[in-house]
Amino acid sequence: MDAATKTPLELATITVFGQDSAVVSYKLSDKNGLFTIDKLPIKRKLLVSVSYTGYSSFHTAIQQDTAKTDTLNALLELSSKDTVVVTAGIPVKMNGDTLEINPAAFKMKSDAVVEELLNQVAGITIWSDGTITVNGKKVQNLLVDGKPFMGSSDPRVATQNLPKSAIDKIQLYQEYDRSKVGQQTTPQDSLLTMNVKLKEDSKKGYFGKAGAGYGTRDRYEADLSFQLYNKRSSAGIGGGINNINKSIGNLQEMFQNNTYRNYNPNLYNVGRFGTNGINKNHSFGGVVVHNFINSENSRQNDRLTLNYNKTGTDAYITDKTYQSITTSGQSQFSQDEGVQNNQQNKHDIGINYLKTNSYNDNLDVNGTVGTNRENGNSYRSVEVRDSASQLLSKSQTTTINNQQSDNESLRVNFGKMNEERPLTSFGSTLNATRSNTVSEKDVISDFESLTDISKNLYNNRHYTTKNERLNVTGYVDYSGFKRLVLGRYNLFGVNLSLGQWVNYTRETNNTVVTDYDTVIKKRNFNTILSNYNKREVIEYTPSLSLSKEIFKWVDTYYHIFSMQFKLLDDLKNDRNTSSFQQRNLDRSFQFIRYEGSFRYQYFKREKYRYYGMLNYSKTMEYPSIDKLYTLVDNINAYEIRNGNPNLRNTINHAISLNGDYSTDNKKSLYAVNGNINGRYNLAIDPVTDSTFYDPSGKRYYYYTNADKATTLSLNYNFNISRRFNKNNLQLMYKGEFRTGKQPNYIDTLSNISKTNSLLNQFTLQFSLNSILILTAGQTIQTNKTTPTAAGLSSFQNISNTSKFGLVVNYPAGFTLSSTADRISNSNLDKPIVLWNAFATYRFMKQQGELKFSAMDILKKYQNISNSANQYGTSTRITNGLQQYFLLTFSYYPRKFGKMEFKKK
Amino acid sequence: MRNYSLCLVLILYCQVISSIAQSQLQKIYLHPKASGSEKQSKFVDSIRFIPLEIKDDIQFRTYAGVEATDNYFLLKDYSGKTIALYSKKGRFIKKISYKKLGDFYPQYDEFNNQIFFFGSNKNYKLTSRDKIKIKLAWSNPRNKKYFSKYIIDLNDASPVIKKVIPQQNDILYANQYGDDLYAMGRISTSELYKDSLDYEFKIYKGTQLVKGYFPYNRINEPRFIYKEEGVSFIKTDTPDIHIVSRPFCDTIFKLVNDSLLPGYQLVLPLENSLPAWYFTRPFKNKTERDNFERNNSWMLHQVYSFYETPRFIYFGVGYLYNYETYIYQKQTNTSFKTKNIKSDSSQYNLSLLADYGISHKADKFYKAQNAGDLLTFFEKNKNVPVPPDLDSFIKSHPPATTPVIIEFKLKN
Repeated sequence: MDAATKTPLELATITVFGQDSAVVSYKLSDKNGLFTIDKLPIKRKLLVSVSYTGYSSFHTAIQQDTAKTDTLNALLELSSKDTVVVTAGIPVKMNGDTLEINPAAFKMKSDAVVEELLNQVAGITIWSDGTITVNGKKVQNLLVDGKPFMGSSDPRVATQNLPKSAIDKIQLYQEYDRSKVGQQTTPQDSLLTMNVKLKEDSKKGYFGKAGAGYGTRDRYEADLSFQLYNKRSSAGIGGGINNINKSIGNLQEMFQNNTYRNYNPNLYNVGRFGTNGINKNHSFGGVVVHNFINSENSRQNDRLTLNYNKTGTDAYITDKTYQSITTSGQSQFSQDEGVQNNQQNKHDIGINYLKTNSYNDNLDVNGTVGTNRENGNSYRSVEVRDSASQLLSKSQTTTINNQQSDNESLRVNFGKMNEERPLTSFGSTLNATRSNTVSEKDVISDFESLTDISKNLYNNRHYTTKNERLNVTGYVDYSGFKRLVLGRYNLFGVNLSLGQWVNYTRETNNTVVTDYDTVIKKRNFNTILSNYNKREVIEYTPSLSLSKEIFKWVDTYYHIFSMQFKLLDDLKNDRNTSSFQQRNLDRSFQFIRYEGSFRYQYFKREKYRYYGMLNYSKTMEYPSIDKLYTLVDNINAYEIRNGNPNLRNTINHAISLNGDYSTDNKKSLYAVNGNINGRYNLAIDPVTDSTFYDPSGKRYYYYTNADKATTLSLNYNFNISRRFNKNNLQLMYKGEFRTGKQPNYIDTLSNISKTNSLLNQFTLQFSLNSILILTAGQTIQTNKTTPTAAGLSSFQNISNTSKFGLVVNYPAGFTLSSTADRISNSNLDKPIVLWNAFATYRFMKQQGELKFSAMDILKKYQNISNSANQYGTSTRITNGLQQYFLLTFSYYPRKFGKMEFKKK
Repeated sequence: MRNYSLCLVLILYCQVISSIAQSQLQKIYLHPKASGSEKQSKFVDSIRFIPLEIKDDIQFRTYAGVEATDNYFLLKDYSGKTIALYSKKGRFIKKISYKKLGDFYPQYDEFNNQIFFFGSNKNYKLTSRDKIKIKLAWSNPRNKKYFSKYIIDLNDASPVIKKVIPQQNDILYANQYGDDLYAMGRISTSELYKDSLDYEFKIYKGTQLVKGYFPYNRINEPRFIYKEEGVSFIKTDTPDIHIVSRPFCDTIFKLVNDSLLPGYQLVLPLENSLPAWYFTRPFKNKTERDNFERNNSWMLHQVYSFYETPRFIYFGVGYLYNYETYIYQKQTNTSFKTKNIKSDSSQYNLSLLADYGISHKADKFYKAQNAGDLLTFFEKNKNVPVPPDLDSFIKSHPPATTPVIIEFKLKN
């Protein structure tokens, strides 16, 4: 308080420093001049500094030897000087509408990265899934000097690599989503953006990781990531190879998974025991980004990005699937065993050019070229039994397939907004894709019926398919339409927009099928399946959109309500040319349809915000030629599909909703956010299956129309975080609920399969000052199928997964971590346990890392998954990884600016 | 030789005149981001409280402005779109809502003692080009419909909102400052204009141009292309003297009758000065101009409010993308950013020099304050005597959101 008048001083800054001048904690006084700082370290000398603009600072040393509450009275004298010289940086301040974080005000270890800094800033939460929220609101865009870092807007590449010492300041502000240029704006077009401004001497540098490891059972892994940047350009290469099912993904994923951060390592970026089979993955790629202009803001872009990625997998999978099948009378049980070996190799080249001069214009050109080669072989045997476990039928199938494809795509977005010349405002998109696929497949299938041997079937069939596909789509949204037709008239503030959507698709298939005659030992041409088919679809949809926004604000809150109604006219022509006479069809359709949406946003300053959206749309679809006149292939006796030329069109009514809630209280120790997404779909005259279980064991499927089908899905999550000085406790909840009524016919019985699935997932994480991170999670999933027809059986399975994680970063340079998963399932006799442990040591001045991984220590893991659909439930058990130990060495080359951080 | 001598004399004369004019200019030294801070009592005194009559439906809001007229205090609530009229002693007269008018904001016309609302008719959406086209064809009666004007005549015994027909002076944003005398400072460029000559600042008598100052090319003047600008015309305490400030100009002028003289000069760091090419090379398009302004957000745009006392000058400066208000201390040649001036307990911890919501009439400034802040202060500081003009109000335990008007002066 003021020393002369004893007047309380609001918003005085109280900072507690350690002996090393590091900020231990800081607080602002309330309107009564009061403050409370808890959890101060005991038995340490601390310096308390109280500062208030215009007053001389108050300093005092304190030391607490026991945990108790002490009172400190700080009386501040008015400064006699004309000006106050600021000697210490202010940690966080508002500059206009931008929140600025000053890294210099936070004293941390020399190798700390930006994410560790953000973890110390009041109001910022780094959630356990990597999401960053500021005062409860999610950061949706991360820029470095106004540009996506390495061409990626994912925060992790920047926040987990860039050292705090290279940062001048971090800015947080709202920015317009430029992908919406030329379209009607909505409140959700405003994105919370984090801009990391580098120090002038750190505007060029490099960083990365090169690591290799080898272990028991010949398990190995190698990762490479290297990125360099300067003011205008950046480039990166990444690569990886392993046989531990570890996902490598594309280049951006390689960059994200090989960051420098080590205080909270991603414990799940390791060998994946949940993946089916044993997969040898490899990937290699590079990216070059060049900015043709030297701009430090995100309004002006003139940027070219080139990337290349080569990925490949060699998978060996064995599996057993147990399926409960809904049939009339007694249920059937199928046991399916298979072994397969698949190889895939992909090459992808991408080019992106972005040119923007302001928030009012956008040119984004994206081109890709790719090739894909896949080959594989598999053997599968199936046994079907009745409820008394009597064998009804069995089959063996051997497949060898080989497929090669190439594809090209081009996407151009171009939009302009011009308030001065509204007639010239528009947004447009052009998409073009082309692909060629050639495949060869040999299938030998042997079906044996135990009830009717006359239905036994043996096939040795060869398929050669050539597929060519071309698709061109264009869309123009003309927001100057209102000005064009109404001139200056405002139409009560209603905006009009004219949309023009055009699509052309051409697809040709040339399929040659031959059957091997075991008697004459010769291949015969299969006239039922060999065919030529060419499909050309021309679609044109003009649309008219009316929208209005109502905005109200007062000094403590604002709210925005907006609504949109859209009328569309779908005009379609579908022309099919085939070597089969009945498939030569020329069909034209016209569907008048409509869409509507309501959006509401409420923001209570310094308290909370919420957003809600409700959307309705009506669409129509007509049956495809393959459903009307199906080419009946009996190679799989358990799925013989037949067409139905009398199928009717389907009408879909869809209602979707979205709701968001987050707190916005800078002073609160809590951060809360929640989200709900839902969709309800009603299909009138949906196409469904009429299934016949032949006494021989064969299954025939006929397409038919049902009365109606409904599906409802809800996804919701709720997250709450509590800060305790530098410690943090987080609870994350995620839920999913799906239900549906799918009509079908089973052995002529009309049935509605009611499916329900419910998922509840809780994750609790506690971080103790970057030294200890504890995670506990629980997932409960229930799947249930209930048929309505008499005589059909219901099925249900429940799985329950408990996860525990532990990271200990102590002593300096050492990290010990462990994960334990316990999975139980109602279809399993006893639960599965997976226990992994890791020990990491960083040395060579924090640039070398040695990691020992012990995977599946208890040697008890099994790959099991469950699913449910209208035909029943199934449990699948596959091969996968088993216990192994791995030793990995990694080196992190790092240099930012002229000096390496370690010298700083 | 004779011609040469004449030229030499002329050059010398011009230099002498120029240096005299320069020496008469009062320099105002300003660092835009000045972190200098001072306590408020150094600048402000004569604080007087005018508690307003308590009304349930009138509350203090952050974005509220107060304006003093000869007979009334006007409490303008921009978010609630209302104006509350109080007598000069704080007695409630009436509350007028202008919600139904659309997106209009009230302005006080001191000469005519009326509040007016002027702008585009909400039934039409006008671009800047539209407005120029309408201005050029104002004689066409069909163009009247594009604008609306409403007034509240404070000379009336019971002021109400009245719709009036917009006149040419309204669309030209002419400011009446004397009998039939109008000052006009709206600047715009467009290829729609047929002739290129216009003046940044003009004085009209009725509809007759008396004098034009600072000619510019209204088709493609580099400074003004792609953006509307305006000269600020500010009343002083001395009749017949007005302050005139131009966009992108560091000189502040005094209009004495119809003579315009340089009065003050802002002295800014080089980094805050516009580059020389800004005045000669036009921007290629509006985007290029916007980008320049955003990328150079602290370069000088214009001086807006301006009020001078013997010791201080209170003024507001617009930069290309920022705005700040300052107090200039003449004795020490120091500028203080009003945001950094700290309230102190000798003035009840009231922050009076905020950059929003204050107005002045003659030598007095006015600001609205939340009664709750005062109640809290006197509750916490029982040793501080309650000023007599506030005593009965505080004892009546008013609701915390009741507004109180604070009158104060800059120290002489």
